[in-house]
Amino acid sequence: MLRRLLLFFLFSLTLANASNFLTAQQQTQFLQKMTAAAANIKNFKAGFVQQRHLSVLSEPLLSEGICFFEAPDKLRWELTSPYQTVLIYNADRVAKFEMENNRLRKMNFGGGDMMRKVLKQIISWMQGDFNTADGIYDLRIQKGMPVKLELIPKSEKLRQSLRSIQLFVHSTSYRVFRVRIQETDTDYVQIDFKEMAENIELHPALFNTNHPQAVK
Amino acid sequence: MKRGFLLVLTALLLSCSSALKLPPLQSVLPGYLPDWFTASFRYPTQFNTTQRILLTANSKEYDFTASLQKEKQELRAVTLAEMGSLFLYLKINGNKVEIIRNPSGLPENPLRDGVAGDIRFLFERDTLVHRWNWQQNAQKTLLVQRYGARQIIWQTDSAAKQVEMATEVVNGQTIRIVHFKDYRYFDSIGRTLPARIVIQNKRWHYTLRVQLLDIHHSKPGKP
Repeated sequence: MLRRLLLFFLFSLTLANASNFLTAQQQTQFLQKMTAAAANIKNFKAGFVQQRHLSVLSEPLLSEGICFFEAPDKLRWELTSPYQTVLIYNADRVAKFEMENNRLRKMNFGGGDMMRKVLKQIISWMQGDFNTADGIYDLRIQKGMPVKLELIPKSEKLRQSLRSIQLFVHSTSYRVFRVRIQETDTDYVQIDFKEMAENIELHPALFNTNHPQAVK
Repeated sequence: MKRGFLLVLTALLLSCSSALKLPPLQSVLPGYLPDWFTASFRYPTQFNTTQRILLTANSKEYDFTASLQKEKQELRAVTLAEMGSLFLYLKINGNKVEIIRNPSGLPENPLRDGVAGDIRFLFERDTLVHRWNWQQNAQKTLLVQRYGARQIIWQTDSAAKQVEMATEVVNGQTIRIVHFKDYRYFDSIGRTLPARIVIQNKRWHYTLRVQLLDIHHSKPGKP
């Protein structure tokens, strides 16, 4: 009797767990809706708060900033606190600037090649395109409000340092409002987007990789 | 014409050096070092900092946010790269340096000897065990700290009572030159400390520009 009960309990758990995620067909439909919603976004501007949680740190490291995106391939990631830097991706060119004496100084950025790949990937995901992640990550989508897209590294080696990348998506607008990069149970980076404004007038100089416009 | 210019230049240099000329070195016992000198490095016994670090190596610049925690004798240094990704995590306890995380696979020697050495130089300052000499005039106080083959020359501003520069030399070879700038009072710990430090590591050929953004007494806690 006890054994039957245990089996029933395990079976119920499996069912509950399985029903928590979208089926392959539902997943495809959801991604199509997300891509369609993203297609309507010509550009956007959003503030962000980044929290860095590490078990070794007694409190998270916080930073804030503002990001600008213009389809298909322009992104400006600007840190405003605790110090000011600007990272720009524009059609495969990457540049970084720091604020020095109230002026943006172009840095001879050492991590350019790596950042180019990372930013390119982020831009694809922003547009609902997860095809580029196919070879590296398994994608599963958790139901709920919000919907959670989870990218899990296929390689066990990569999984040792990166458990998953989670995108929290608003269930009706299909907008990503939170990204969490989960390294271990306790270590993660969480980026929350706020005050998002879409299809606004953005000056092209915001994405200039030589002389970008400063934002006040 | 050229000879005349050289003469003028020599005279100028001579006049400058005589203005800065210091009396011969005198011995000083550690307990008699000027208070303001030891205060320049008086970090709390347990602290947490947030720093911005700009590393220049091979003329390329790398930008990091760092957190340094000191608890008991242990220093824990965490360095984050773009978008919060973990770049480096070191534990330093005296001569013992542990590389806990190094995801980009940086070679160990520059980390143990270079970066950990720089951190120890700045935050593990024991003024009691070394032999000291000093020279002083109205503008400058020069303190020379000797320990075996190691010598550190501290150049200070006598009037402002602040350390300006330190040069560490081992067996006649310059290891690092450190500039201390922008002294500020940090309310959180009730002390004045240099908010900007520039370290030129001559052995490993890089420069670190460290900007102290926040410092506070650490909360007891995590392992």
